[in-house]
Amino acid sequence: MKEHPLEWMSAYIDEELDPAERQQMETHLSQCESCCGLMAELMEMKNEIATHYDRIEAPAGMENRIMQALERQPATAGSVSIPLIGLSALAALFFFYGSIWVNLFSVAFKFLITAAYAASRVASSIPALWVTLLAIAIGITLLSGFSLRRILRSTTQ
Amino acid sequence: MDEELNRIIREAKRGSKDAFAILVHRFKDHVYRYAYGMVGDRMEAEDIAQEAFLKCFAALPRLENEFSFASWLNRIVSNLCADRLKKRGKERLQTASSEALGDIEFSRAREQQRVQNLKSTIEEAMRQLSSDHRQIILLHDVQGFRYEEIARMLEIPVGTVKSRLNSARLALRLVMRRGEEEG
Repeated sequence: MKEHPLEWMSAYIDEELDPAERQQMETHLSQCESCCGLMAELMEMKNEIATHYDRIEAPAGMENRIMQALERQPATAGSVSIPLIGLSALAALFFFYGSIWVNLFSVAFKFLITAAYAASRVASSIPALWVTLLAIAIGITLLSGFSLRRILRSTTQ
Repeated sequence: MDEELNRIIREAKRGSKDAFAILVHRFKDHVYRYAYGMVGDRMEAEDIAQEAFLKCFAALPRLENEFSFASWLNRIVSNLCADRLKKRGKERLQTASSEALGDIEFSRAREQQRVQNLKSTIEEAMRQLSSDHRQIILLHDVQGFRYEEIARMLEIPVGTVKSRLNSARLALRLVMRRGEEEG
């Protein structure tokens, strides 16, 4: 242990040292007068600060002023206008570039069908792959279910 | 945190202004005290507290856990205080060239210091600390957060909280001692 464990002083006062560090600190304090003095000084200062600031209260009327300011604020203007802008932008996109989107989707769909066919062929030729894929799929489904449940729980509460 | 408070927070999250009024009543001193401790000016502290509650109401639906409401609210106030102090720092730089004004301020400060009692000695000493040190003392000794909560709030390791609070207290002790010797 170092000669004067100054870096542990605050954590000791605040009871935030782990048991081993606390034990070492107590042993040192029982032998060191200067650290004991500093400790007492810091504790007194901590109490003075807490007592001083505890007496400070919010000005009378602040509460009312906050609630009045809240009433003056436009109610949920942002939350309504943002989705509206998004929807209109999407509609405009479909209106102007609709045919391109349809082509793109049909190509993507065909590609997906081909990929699924190829995957099934590969999987049927190697049975071990089937089992692995099935296990992974079940794992992912379970994981998604749990996280969805957690998200729904934290947002609905 | 009691169940009753959690219920109020849940209602306020759904947009109830009556529930939010109860939260304002319950946390106004907590918020104001921190803001005042950080900026050292009553008017500015009230401004910050007001802004913090308005922001809090707007962002409340996004609060994930009611248990962390106090530290979440403190984070809002803390960010607002940091913005103010940054702005103040810039303004001070702009006016630093005016030497005469500085002299007037200095003599006024000396005059104020003469009539200070023990209470203002603490505030004066706190004002002389860096904002990081002031912040960590306020969060722990005044607001009553534990090291782990502070670490989460400031997004720093617990070890940093430990060492920062320790050096903040040692710095404050030094400033207060100097003040006593001068007085």
